[in-house]
Amino acid sequence: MSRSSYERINYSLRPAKCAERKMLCDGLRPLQRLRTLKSFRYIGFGSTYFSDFILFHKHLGLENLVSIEKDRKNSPRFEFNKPFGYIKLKYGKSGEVLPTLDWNNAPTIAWFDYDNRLTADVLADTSYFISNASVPSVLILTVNVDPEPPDVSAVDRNKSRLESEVGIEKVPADVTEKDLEGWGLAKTSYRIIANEIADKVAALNGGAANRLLFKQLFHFHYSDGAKMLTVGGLLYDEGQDPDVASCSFDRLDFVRGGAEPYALRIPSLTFREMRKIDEKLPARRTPRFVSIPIEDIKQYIRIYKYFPTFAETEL
Amino acid sequence: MATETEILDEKMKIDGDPTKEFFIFMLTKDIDLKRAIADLVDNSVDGARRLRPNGNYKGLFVEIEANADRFSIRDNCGGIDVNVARKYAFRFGRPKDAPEMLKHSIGQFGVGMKRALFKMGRIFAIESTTKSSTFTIPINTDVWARKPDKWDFVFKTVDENYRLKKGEEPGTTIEVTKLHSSIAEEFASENFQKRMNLDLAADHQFSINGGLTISLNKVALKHATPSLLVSRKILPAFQTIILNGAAPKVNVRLYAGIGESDPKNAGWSIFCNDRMILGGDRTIRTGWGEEGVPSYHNEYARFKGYVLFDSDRADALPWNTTKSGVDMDSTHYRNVRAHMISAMRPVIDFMSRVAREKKRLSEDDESQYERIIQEAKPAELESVKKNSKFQYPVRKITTEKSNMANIQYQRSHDQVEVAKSVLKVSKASQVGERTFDYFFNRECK
Repeated sequence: MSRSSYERINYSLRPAKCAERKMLCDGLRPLQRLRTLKSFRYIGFGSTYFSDFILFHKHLGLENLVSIEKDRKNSPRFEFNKPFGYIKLKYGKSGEVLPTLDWNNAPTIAWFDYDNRLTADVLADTSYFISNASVPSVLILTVNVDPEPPDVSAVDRNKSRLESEVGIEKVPADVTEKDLEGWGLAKTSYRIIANEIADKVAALNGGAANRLLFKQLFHFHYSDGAKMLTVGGLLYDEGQDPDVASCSFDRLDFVRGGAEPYALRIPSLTFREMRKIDEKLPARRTPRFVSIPIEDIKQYIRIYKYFPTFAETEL
Repeated sequence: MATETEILDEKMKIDGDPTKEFFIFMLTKDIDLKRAIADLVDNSVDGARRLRPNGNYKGLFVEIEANADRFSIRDNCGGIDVNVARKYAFRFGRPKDAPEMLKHSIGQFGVGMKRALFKMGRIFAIESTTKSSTFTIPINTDVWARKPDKWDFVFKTVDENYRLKKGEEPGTTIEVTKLHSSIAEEFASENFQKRMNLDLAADHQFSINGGLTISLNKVALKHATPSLLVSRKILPAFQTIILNGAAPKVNVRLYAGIGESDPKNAGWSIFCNDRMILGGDRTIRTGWGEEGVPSYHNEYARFKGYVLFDSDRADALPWNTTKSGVDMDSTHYRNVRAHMISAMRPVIDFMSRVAREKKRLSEDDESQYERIIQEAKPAELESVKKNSKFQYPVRKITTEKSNMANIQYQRSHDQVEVAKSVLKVSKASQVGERTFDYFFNRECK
């Protein structure tokens, strides 16, 4: 039996994921122009580490926190690890739990951080959220986009697997096996998610007085081993347009509103190297150190504020 | 000057003329966009049939482009003759005196093209070239609708003594611009495009498999050839029925059997002159839930039935005007439906037996019926031999275990795993048997 990712790896030790989490946190902060951050409910998959809950509670002040946990069997362990009393644990699959929550007048930030691939269930959660969330709300999805390892003997294996996982009608007509290799599965998964959201929003706008809008804010590619895709954005209605404009999300370097992703790459640097680069900041020209690849230095400077630092400690 | 009776007549007259707006509304209301486009493809397919009566369409194409700004369909399937365009193709409805347009055609009601165009947008351009003529017709429906009594359209160019240029192929191109906003929205959706791709491919699967290239936004449509599982032990039903009451002759081929388990597409598929009008139907329309046939259940996910109606006269076929279903009142269809019900019963009995056998077996035992199904290979309909009813081996479902009782209970996974490793067995059922024997030998002997 395969183990859940929380049993295999300590979330806080995934450097790219850690940086992404901090970026999302910064990316959500401008929402305070729409309403006080505290008034948003947060729904996530806290697992045993609750890293997102800790960050969003401490840095955004979110207090209405709901963690969905599918592993009902080990509930005592999740309760034990809950860092704050603010967190309510709901057991079951997300598709079962979401309809049991209150969606009336409950602006929500949801981060469905799946450790599996894009499936029909993920799309169903997406649709459910878009159809039921009050405006303004934020939906963020993370899915695994690691393609099958190359195998010449199997024809169209990635394509047929994708078709069976999400439903053949959701796979864009022009997608071929070649489009699913490398980061290709990420690109196609992104298209499928974006199509699902656009279709749902269009359907809900049929005959509606106040048009619903979805503004994409996040589109990350990253890899701490497996290739991962994060897509997210803000659901709001036309009337909130000026307030949303005043959020100036685009000023943030990592915000992406379209099909072009922000590739979140964590260069491998030692503490000593990082400190040396830090000392040179701000730098008009990229500082050079003898043997560190220049691309790594540039990348570090781009994201050093979100750079995770790990050290072995005894607490 | 009007006479007294004429004035009186004028007073007594009640206006019954249709308005164009009403006409357009009624015409487009009852058809969905995908069906409307399938109708346009039907015209191209009819052209292909005219050019290649033998059914080999290699080299012929239908290219569809649909985006938020425009829709177009272009083919090299022979074109529309100027005379046909002038007298029939653009009339609303086919006049009684229309010549027999094409044996075996699928366009028949004389509404398809107009309905599709009005459904999509407000400006159309049609150009068509045959071996001996060529014409172009631009239509602006806003201008057309302003003249309530004039229903004619006007050629922009026409040449009845045309000679094809070198390399030029006879064919038709239709373009629609100024799309209605809801249509533009649908065309812009990749999900809509994919559904249209799947639907068109299913509707025209026989033409595609006959070599006709149909593409939508540069992606060629594909469809698996219809097939049924055949082996020495499993034989699908294949009957031919000839319907010829007073009406023109209609040939029917009826197949019923099993295929891969496919809950989404199981059921009856019905074709008229090779055009699918009903796919994977599991409702009362095709006999489910009537006369001893149970309502559909996932147990029957392997059921596949095909009915192919063919006639030289399209109006003798049991389709509705949108080609999206059967005309339930058609005497032909009622007749064939009775045969369908008889043909599906043994298939359903077989699948019920498979399910019953599975229920009696424990997880680890191999199902005999499943093995028989696994041994069967898919065969294209063309190669299926005539056979009045579906045949399968009737087996006793379980070996007689008259002196045997079943014991069932559940224990936690972790415990069972430990027990398996201690007993050195791999199946949960073996854990049950060994632990029972262990207890029995010690305590009961």
